[in-house]
Amino acid sequence: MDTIIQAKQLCLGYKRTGLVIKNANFTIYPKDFVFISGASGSGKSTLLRSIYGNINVQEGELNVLHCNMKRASSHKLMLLRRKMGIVFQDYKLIQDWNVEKNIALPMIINKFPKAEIKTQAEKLLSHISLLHKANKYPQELSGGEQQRVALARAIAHRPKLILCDEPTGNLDDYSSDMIWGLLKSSNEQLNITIVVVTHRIPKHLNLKYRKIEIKEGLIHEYA
Amino acid sequence: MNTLKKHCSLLIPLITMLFSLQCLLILERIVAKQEQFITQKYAIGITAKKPITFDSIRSKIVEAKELSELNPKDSITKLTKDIDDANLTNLTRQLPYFYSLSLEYFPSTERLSVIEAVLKKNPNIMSVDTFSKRHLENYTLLSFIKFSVITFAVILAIISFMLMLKQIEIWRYVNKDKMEIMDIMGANIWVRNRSLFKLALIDSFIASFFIMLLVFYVANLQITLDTLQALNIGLGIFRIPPDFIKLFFAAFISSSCCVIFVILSKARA
Repeated sequence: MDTIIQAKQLCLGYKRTGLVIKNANFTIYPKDFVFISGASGSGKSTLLRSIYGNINVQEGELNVLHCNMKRASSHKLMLLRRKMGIVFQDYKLIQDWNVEKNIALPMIINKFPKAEIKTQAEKLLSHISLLHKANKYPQELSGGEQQRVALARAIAHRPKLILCDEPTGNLDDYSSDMIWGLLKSSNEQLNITIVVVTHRIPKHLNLKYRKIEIKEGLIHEYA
Repeated sequence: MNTLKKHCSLLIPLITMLFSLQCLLILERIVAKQEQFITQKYAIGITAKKPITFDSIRSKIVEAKELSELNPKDSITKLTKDIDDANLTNLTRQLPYFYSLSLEYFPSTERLSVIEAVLKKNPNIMSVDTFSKRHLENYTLLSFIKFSVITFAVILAIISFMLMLKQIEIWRYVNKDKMEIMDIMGANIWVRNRSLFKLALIDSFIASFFIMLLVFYVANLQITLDTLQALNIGLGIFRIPPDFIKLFFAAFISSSCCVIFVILSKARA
């Protein structure tokens, strides 16, 4: 069966703190909706960062979209990141670009035709109910609106995988529900694999998901 | 306001650098004109036992332009008052041949010594007068002007380059978050730094255009016209369209080099 992420005896850590994740084994398949949870400092974000190649694999193996993260060159990493969408807790939007251009960024990087970029950006803006704010700048939006823009940017180039790091950590309940709804529809309608790092799994999601918990550096999986 | 400040901090060193380059170009043309003027007036005096031809000289001295025989009659006429015709004919027959050799360009002191040595090797040539003292004075003056201008331009260019480097480093720092986001999205180095190259291109154009406006203004000042007329130099030293292209390319290449230097130094860090 095809895999999206495969970890075998994976060890991750930092020079100062030592190993944070020890001998992790897990597989994520296409269309999976996976929550990675654990206490603060348990290594959730470290695991997510290793998936998009922001930190190195210490030991073991990690394959993401058929790319061996231990041996990946910077060019391969660049190409791998183009196949993903990433959503951060602090949104990471480009402040001097308007909303529409922020959403267009992954399409610009993936060299989509100009007309398609325009159409797709407008479609997504309409989907996240922000078409009327297309020309606004991120600082003119609320936190919830910024996170919706970040999510629209993550799905704009139709990636195979979306990684989310505490996507609702800074949001109120209304905005959180909207983000979960968007993630759910991306998974169900666009068949995108979703990996979410969170310490608070929503109860009313009404979706079949997998839960990976990190406790004292070890991975435990629950259905 | 921020945009203006952002541009000004690169424009100032760029304008300084282009100003020195423009001065260098204009001064080089003035020096070349003066050199041409001196070359036209300068000639080597040759005294020969037998007639010599231009081809025989040209085969050994590539820069030889013209060999003209000097007529000794003018000098002799002044002496004819006290000499009878028979003696005058005898004197004229015994006189050597005098020539004036002009050159294509003004030679260096070393080259002039070589030319003198080559001419003296010719068995028909009795003596060679290179007027070396006068030549040395002129040549030293021209060399000094050229050296001063180049030194001035190089110092200004280095200082400007360092200022530009610092400014681009600041820009990169200001755009650090944007570049980091693009990196996470998988943008290549060109896309990540496109804004820096764009700024370098725009500012290079503005700086070159500003210098050209300045040159146009200076070239049309009455004082400039009077000075150039007094020095017998035409307005040909101001070549606005070709200089604009030269300056624009110089500015764009140097500012792009700064951008590349900053990108590579940060990539290695």
